[in-house]
Parts: sequence; C-alpha cells; structure tokens
Amino acid sequence: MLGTITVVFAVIIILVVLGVLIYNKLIASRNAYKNAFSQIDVQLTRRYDLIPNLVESVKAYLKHENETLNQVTQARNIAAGDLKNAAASPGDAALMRQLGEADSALNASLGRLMLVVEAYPDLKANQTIMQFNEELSSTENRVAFARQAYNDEVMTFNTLVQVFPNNIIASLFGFTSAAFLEAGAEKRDAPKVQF
Amino acid sequence: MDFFRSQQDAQRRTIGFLLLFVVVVLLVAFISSYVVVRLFFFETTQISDVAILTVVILCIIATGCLIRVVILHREGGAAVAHSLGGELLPEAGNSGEDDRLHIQRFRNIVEEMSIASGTPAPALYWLPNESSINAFVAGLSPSDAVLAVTRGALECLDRNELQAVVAHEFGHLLNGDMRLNTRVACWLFGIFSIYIIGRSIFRIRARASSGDSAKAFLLILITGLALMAIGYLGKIGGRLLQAAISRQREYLADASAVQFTRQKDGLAGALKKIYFLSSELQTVNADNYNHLFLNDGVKISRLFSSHPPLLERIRRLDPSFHPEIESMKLSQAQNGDFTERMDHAITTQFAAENLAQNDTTSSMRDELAWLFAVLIDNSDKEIQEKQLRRVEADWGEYGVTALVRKLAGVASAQPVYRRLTRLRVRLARLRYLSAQQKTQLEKTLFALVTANEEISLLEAAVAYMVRRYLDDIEHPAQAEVAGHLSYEQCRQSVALLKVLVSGNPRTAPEYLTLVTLAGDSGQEEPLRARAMENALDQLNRLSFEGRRRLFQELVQSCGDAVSEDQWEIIALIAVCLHASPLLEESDE
Repeated sequence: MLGTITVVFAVIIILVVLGVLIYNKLIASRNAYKNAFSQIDVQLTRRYDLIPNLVESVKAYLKHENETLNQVTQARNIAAGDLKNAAASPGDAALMRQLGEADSALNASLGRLMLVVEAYPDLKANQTIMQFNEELSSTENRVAFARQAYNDEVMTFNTLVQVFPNNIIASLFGFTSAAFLEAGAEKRDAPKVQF
Repeated sequence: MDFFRSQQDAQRRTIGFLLLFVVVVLLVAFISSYVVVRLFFFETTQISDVAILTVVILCIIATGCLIRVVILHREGGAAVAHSLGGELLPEAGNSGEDDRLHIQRFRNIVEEMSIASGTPAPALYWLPNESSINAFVAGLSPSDAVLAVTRGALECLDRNELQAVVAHEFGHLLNGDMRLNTRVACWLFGIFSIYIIGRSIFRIRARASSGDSAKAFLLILITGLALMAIGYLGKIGGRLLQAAISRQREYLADASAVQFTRQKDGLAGALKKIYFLSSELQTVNADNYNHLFLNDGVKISRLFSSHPPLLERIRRLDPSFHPEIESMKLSQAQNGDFTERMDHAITTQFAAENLAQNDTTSSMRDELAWLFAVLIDNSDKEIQEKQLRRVEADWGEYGVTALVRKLAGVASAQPVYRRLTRLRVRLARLRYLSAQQKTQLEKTLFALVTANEEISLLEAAVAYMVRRYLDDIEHPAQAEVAGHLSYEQCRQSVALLKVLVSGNPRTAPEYLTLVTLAGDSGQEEPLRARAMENALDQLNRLSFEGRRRLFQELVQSCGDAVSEDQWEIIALIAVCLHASPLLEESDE
C-alpha cells in the first residue's frame, strides 16, 4: 500500500516537473518571437531615419535629379508616418497593410533613384555613392532579415506548441500557434541596387 | 539543400560521436584498471577490484579535464584573436581610403546577421596581414565571443559571399560549437593524463630502483609503460572522434548559414574561391585553433581534419561543381585582377559561351572563317590564292577573307582532331545564316573542296557534314534517323569510310579503286568529291542495326588504339549520319 502511494507520488512529481519545464520552454519561445516582431519595427524605424541622411549625402552629386530625390523623401515621410500609426495600435491589419504599401512605394522610388545613378558611369565609382549604395542595401537587408528571423522564431514556437506532450500544456495555459509574416507586395519589388 | 533537415542530421551525428567519445573514455578507464589489477594481483584478480579502480581512474580523468577547463576558461576570445595576429577592427571612418568601404560593408553584414540569427553581435577583429580567405569565432560565452576575418576575405569576397561566411560563423556561435569543442578537448586532456601518469611512474622507477626487488621493479616499469600506451591510444582515438564531431559542426554551421541568408550561392561562392585561392594562414599559432576557422588554416590529414573536405562542402551546396571546368574558365580569363578573374570564372559559368551566342554576327563570322580555313590548302600557294579569291568573291562583304588567311595558318599547324573538334562543336553557330546564305555556303564549300587537284576524303566529309547540318535545320522533318539498307548492301561505302578513318594516303590504289567503284570514272576531280558524298548519302539510308555495326567496324579498323585524330573523324561521320559513336558503342 505504502509502496503504491510512493510510486503514484513520484509519478506526479515527475509529471509536474516536466510540465513546468515545458511551460518555461514555451514562454521563452513566445518571448523570442515577440521580440523578433519588435525587431522588424526597430529596423523599419532605423531605415526611415537613415534615408534622409543618405539622400542628403548624395544630393551634391545629383543636382539634376532633384525631383527623384524629392520623391524618395516624400515616400519616406509617408512611410514613417504610417509606421508611427501602426506602432500606436499594433495588430491593426488595415494599418499594417497601409504601412506595407507605403514601404513598397518608398522602395519603388529608391529603385528609380538607383536607375538614375546608374546612368552616370563616373558616379558609380564614386566613394560616396558606393557607400550610399552599401548603406541602402544593408538597411534593406536588415528589414528582410528581421522578418525572416521572426518567421523562424514563429516556426520554432509553433513546433513547440504542437508536438506531444507540449500540446497538452499549451492548451492548458492557452498557448496558440502564431501567424507567419507573409512577404507582402513591398517585399517583391524591393529595389535592385546594383552597379 | 533542405537546411533544417541538414541541421537535424548534423545534430544527430554529433550525438552519435559524443556517445562514442564517452565509450572511449570508459574503455580507457576500464582497460587501464584491468591491466593494473592483472599485473599486481595476478592470482587473486577480482572484478570488484577492477570496478573500484575504474571509478578511481575515471576520477583522475575528470580531474585532468577540470584542470584543463580552468586553463582554457582563463583564455577569452580576445586573447585567442590576438594570439592569431588579430587586431580590433577599426571604425570605417578611421581606416584608410582603400579599406573603408570593405570595413563598413563587413560591419553592416555582421549587424544584418545578428538580426537574422537573433544573437548579439560579437566583438569584431580582423587579421590585416593574412591575404588568404578565412574567418573564425572564438570565446566560450556570447559576451566573450569575437568574430575575426582575414583581409583576404574582406577583399576577395563579394557582399553575398562575405555575408554567407559571417552567417557560417554566427552558426558556430549559435550552436555553441566553441563550447562543445572545448569540452571535448578537456576530456581529451583527461585521457591524456593517464599517459602522463604512466610516464611519471616509468621515469621515477627508472631513476631510483636499487631498493626494491627486481620483480617489483619490472612490474612497476611495465605498469608505467602500459598506462602510457593506453593513454596515448586513447588520445588518438579521442582526437579522431573530436575531428569527426568538429566536421559535423561545420556542416551544421553551413546549414545555419543557408538558414540565415536563405541562399546557397553566397556560401558556395565563398567556398569555391577558397578552393581556388587558399585558406591557409601565415601565423604560427593557426594549428592550435584550427577547429575555429571557416576552413582549415593549416595543412592537415583528412582523418584528423576538423573540417570536411572542401569539395564535399561545396557539392552539398552546388552539386554541379566541377573544379576542372571552373579552373579552365579561370585560365581562359587571363585579364583583369585576380578577384575579377575569380568572379568571372566562378559566378558567371559559361557566360563567355552565352555572350558569344548572343553576339551572333561576330561569332558566325568566326565560325565561317574557321570552316573555310580548315578547307584551305596551305601547302600550295597557287591553290590557296584561288581558294581565297573564291571566299572573297562569295563572302567578301562580311569581311572574312583576312580572318580566313590568318586562321588557315593556325589551322594547318594544329592536329587534325583539334581542327575538327572546334568545327564540330560550334557548328550550331551557322544556324543563324539566312536561307540564301546557306545555299551560297554550299556552293563555296564545293568550290573550295574541288579547287585543288587532290581532294582529300576528309575535306569532302567536312563539306558533307556542314551541308547535312544546314539541311537538317532547314527541313527538320526530313532528317532521316534510320533507313532500310542492310550493312551488306553498303560494303563499298563502308570501305571508303574505313580509308578515311585509317588515314591512308589519298593515292593508295585501294582508294582510287573505291572512288571509281563508287560511281564515277575518276577522270574529273569534282566527281571524286562526289564519291564521298555518295557513300555518305548511301550510309544515311542504313538501318539502325547497320549503323551500329558500321561504328564498331570503324573503331576496329583503327587497330589496337584509336588515335585522337581517328576518333574525331569517327565523330564527324557520326554527325553526318545523325548518330553518336559513343551511344553505338555502349549498346554492345
């Protein structure tokens, strides 16, 4: 009798410990993907902060292309405003879409700018322009990698939530699978920055 | 490459090797205690004694391991970087004009990869005096980690490739490979401490021996020797396993690099550049830290190498990689600085070919000129002039005459097979000729072939091949693949081809008879050219079985070994007959 009680007790303890471990793992993974999501915001903000400076740095070389430069600045301002709105009420699908569209407009205008630069062969070899190009592709990459990292974290989290026996704990404490970030229209026509 | 799958595979194999490693440690402990117990208590060997001693020896090994851990932990990532000649990477603004962009790019890439992998960026170092392509991470904890690249990596790799290299190193960071390797190295030292103990026993007894009896003296000496042997063998076994684990971690990091960059080309490109350039370092300390690097920093045998064979790594990313082809491209692209040449050779595979195909007019002119040059008689000036005049008359407007004159010299200096290979392989370029030009070409070819008194069968066959090829393009439906004639019915034509392949002199009586038999009196030269054409025409109506036999016979008629010239002539006949000599042969 005593033996049975001991065994049952031991099994319960083991189960509780296992449950706590799984719960902690789920929490850690959820935080990781939430953090990854905020990274996208961070990178978008960084991008919008950086673009005016970048445009300023090449202005001297592109005097004849003031209009193209103005378009970039305008598109950047719209996108930055949309980002602020979207950040104020996260999860609002309409605002997110608006931001996506603004970002794609910015990308399109940057693409035009790069085409313009390409028309001047001596500009291509210019140190400032080369740096401009480098920074631009880097900011573009950062946004893309932030999205990718978010999706990777979501995948890890979803796997954790869905496998047995984690799914029992997950449903007990209300962990639900997270949604992936689909590549929007803005991602598809990212500017090809090439010299 | 499915990178998540590759990662799982590598993790699984790592665990397998780690288990083996534990087995090695246990074996070393057990065998050494068994040997000692056997030696000292020969009559009364008891399994419990062995077990107790095994535990004791395991404790010794663990102690050795711990000592090593303490030593290694005192050595941070920065110290490793310094001992390998690394310097803290300067800010882009503070560096020279030449390096500024490279350094800025590197810094950007590291931050991008930090975002992609979700790990904090390590401290950045570079090895400014190393021109080979390599990189490493060092340090046991993320806060202590450093990432270093050689100057060669910054200068030779393009953005994608450098990104992939950085991603690979981030993979090591994220997968905890430095920690894993350090632990294995520590246990290895633990095993080695058995050797050290054995050596100490051996030395002490060898020095002070007079007091004991001879038997006890001998016994202890043997014990020392045995422990040395076991410890040393254990260390070698452990080293092999350590290298095997490390190789799996490299595959894992490669897969992680693909995960972070979501593309294989970058890493494949970087590894290919290493393949053709070098990853070997100048610094003397490189072999101590070899496992940290992107690729081996020193020359090392395959079994003990901490990196998988480079070719194998490249093939996992790009199965179509053939170093011979790439190096051929490399040697062809002689111009430009080395980086450009690498780029040209590697990233634009077959670009040269494609370019030529797009630039149809100039390449067509080249091919026409080569075709004419092959048919020009270089030995007789008079005939040569006559032929060149004909070329000028027919094709002068395309400006080929001068080129033909030049190439004729080149062609005659080359062996037959070279001339023919080039012609055959690039025949396709002639497809862009207009219908009118094609008709003109046939006339010109006939004129060139019949210009001299002596027509070689080869010239006739070349002309036939070109005509046949152009016909097929014009009327693809009419191209006969197999006819109904039997081999026996074509005996004479086959004999003529055999003469062609065996390269007998044109004046051989056998040849003259054949020409006569093939349908003309042999009085007029153009008719002799027709003999070859008639033969080939007839063979084009040969049945499939007959063709197969034809090529067997042709190969056999060459004797023991088929020379390159003969082989090329057979290939030419194959084109004339819409057949492949290789296929026919493999059918046997």
